[in-house]
Amino acid sequence: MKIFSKLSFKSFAVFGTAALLASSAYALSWYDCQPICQQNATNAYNQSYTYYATQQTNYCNSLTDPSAKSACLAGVQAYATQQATNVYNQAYNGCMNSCTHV
Amino acid sequence: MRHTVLAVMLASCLVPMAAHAAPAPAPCDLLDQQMLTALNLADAATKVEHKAIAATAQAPANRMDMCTFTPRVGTGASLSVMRLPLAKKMPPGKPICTDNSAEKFGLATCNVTVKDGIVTVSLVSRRAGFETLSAALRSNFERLFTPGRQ
Repeated sequence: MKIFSKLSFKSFAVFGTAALLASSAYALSWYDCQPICQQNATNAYNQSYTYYATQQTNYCNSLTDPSAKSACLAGVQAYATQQATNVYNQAYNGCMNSCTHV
Repeated sequence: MRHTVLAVMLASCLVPMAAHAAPAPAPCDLLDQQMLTALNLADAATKVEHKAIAATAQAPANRMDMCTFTPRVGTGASLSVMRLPLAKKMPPGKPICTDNSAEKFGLATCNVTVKDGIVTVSLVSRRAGFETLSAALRSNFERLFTPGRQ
């Protein structure tokens, strides 16, 4: 909550747009949905990358063993990138599914 | 004589097997079915990935092994487990879990040091129902990784 509260909630509408579209009376085409969902998923990627990088860095810094701490910190970027990519895919697929299948 | 030959042949088979005994568990196997069931991922699809980590001034090159569980149907919560090997044996640490929720979705993560590495498990879920899943993640992670409870 601390991390997200610092970020703009305006851009934080990963599933929100999909829900809004799902509540409308008609389904949109793939071409209508794709840019909306891509933007939402990109926002989700950026926000989740911040969370994962911050969370993992805090954990690594809590380790008392110097070699474990260094190894942990060295992996933060790869870990955060991988996790944020998973969030992107989940957000994009969920959004497209909701958007095109009303 | 025949017995000696057989013994040598048997030993030659067992030595390589012993050399490869007790490999590090695959990342997916770090979690159990009870945990996956609690997170509605008992029948999940799994994907294993290995990522190289470049050396830094403080740490040698390494790799991370990841396993991602995603629902076969629908767009429910997904779970990933990452294992980062450490060169030095570590005493088992205490599990630490955090979560972070936004308006529409939540992220929860648990970390622990095990004897040969760091294990990180992360959950991504829609906001609705996130608290329940996050609590299930935390309790199951502590069950699996609290020293003395395994």
